[in-house]
Amino acid sequence: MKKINLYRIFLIASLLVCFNLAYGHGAVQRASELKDNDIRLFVADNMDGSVVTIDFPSGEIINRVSTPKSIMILASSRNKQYIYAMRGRDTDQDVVSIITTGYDSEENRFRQPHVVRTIATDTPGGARDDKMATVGGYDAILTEGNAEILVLQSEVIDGLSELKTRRYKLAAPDHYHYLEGESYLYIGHLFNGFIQVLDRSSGEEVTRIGKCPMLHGMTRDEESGRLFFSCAREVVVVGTSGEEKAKEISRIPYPANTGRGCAAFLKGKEGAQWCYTEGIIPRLYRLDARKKDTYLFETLPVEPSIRQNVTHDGKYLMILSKQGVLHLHDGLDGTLIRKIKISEPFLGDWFEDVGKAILPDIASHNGTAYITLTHEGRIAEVDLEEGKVNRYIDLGGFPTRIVLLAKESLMQ
Amino acid sequence: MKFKIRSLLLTTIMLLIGMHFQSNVFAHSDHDKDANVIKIADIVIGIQHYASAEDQQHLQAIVDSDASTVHEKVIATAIMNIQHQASVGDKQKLQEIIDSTTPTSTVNALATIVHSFSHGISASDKRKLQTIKFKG
Repeated sequence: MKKINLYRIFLIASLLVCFNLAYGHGAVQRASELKDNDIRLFVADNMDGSVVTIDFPSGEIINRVSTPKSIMILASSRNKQYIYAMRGRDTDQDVVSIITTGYDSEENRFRQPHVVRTIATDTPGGARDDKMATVGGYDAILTEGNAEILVLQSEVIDGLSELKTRRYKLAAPDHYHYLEGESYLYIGHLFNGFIQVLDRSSGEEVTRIGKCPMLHGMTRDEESGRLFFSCAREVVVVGTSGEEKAKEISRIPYPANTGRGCAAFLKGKEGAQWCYTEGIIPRLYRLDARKKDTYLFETLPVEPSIRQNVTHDGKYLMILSKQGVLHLHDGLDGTLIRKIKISEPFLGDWFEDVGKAILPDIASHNGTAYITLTHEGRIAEVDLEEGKVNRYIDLGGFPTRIVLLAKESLMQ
Repeated sequence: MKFKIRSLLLTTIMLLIGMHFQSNVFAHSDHDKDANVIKIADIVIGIQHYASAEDQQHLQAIVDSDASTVHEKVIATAIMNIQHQASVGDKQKLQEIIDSTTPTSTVNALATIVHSFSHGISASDKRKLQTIKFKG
């Protein structure tokens, strides 16, 4: 009898072991997600507000990180450890999501990017040319709704640690165009039409350089340190060092009979600056920023273009036409070098408002350009020297802004 | 009195001219998206063989609205009349739009897609319509 009971107990115990629900998740071999690649591309897909990560040369789509929809700005941090996705204004809640680039400096390889923090801000902005604004070496967000510069003073940003911040009060809520000088901060105000100068250490206002209506766009000449703020009828030149510090140096009128000239600048070769008005435009302007005594705009007629950029070395000026053709110009004098058919034409009007990014974008590295084709839901990888499209990478959705991270720029 | 009226007129003209050129300055201004075009694109994406009763209501509103353009009214009417494909008469009117507008314009794209509608739309036409919806 005892034998039978023992047998039954053994049988039941065996069955329990076999079907044990407690063993729901068995052990597995952990696999590394580290990837070795030369380029990591972050692309804002405004179909749903996700940031898509693509590695090159493999062209592999690594992941999609979800952020609140309607990305307006995508920018890398000063230390290239984070990507900031700032939301546009077609909703009533403004946020900035901070995403890791995934770069592991110890391994010198890349992991999967993920959101580390999302913070509420009032109408965030300030980033230019896919890079965050900085104050004293720290990333900064210019919050246009409540007129502040919010400086993120933490070297490492994660989900738990306190985010150290410093705030600078600005003159008025506005759309800002910001540049940092040696010790002063220069903040152009679009509607108020002046450049507010703040002392970086104290935060106190030093001066206002004024009477510059509809200020939109700015650039810096690295050689002279001078800043150029474009207004409705002219560009205001402001000094940042020595006797000319925080002083208006001169004004450069746009060429006659062409209307407004500049809303954004691109840095070409040997001090050449290219500027354009946003929207579909038939011309660009060239300014030799090194000719300090004779600043003068020249006009470069182009086909109606939808996006412009320069290569990182300023060698090429890249103009994507509305017909879907990339026009490659010399970054110094604007001479047309070649045309490369990239996509079907961009149908209809492409006016980007403050709601969300809709325009295509161009990024490049070492002779290869990456172009988001918003209307076709894919990215073109273009060999600029050979003048041909290497391949297309399908993303679906509506890819717009790009941040390109080259591994060689990350290595210590 | 004459002088005042002239001044008022001149001021109004100057203001209107100023407002017209203002759009060049507002790089990220709140451009008015074309609600009719977006609505038409949205409807065509979803049509299977013919427009639903709800679609018909929206299309009729576009046809009745004074704010709609002639082209929008023609396209909306053609969609309302679709029975697996556009009618011969509507196709003629759509062809006139196609011939008279820039091939890269949105209205040209809409007219072309409705003109070639056959029980539904192709994948590439669907993408075009989705893009119109996306960018406004």
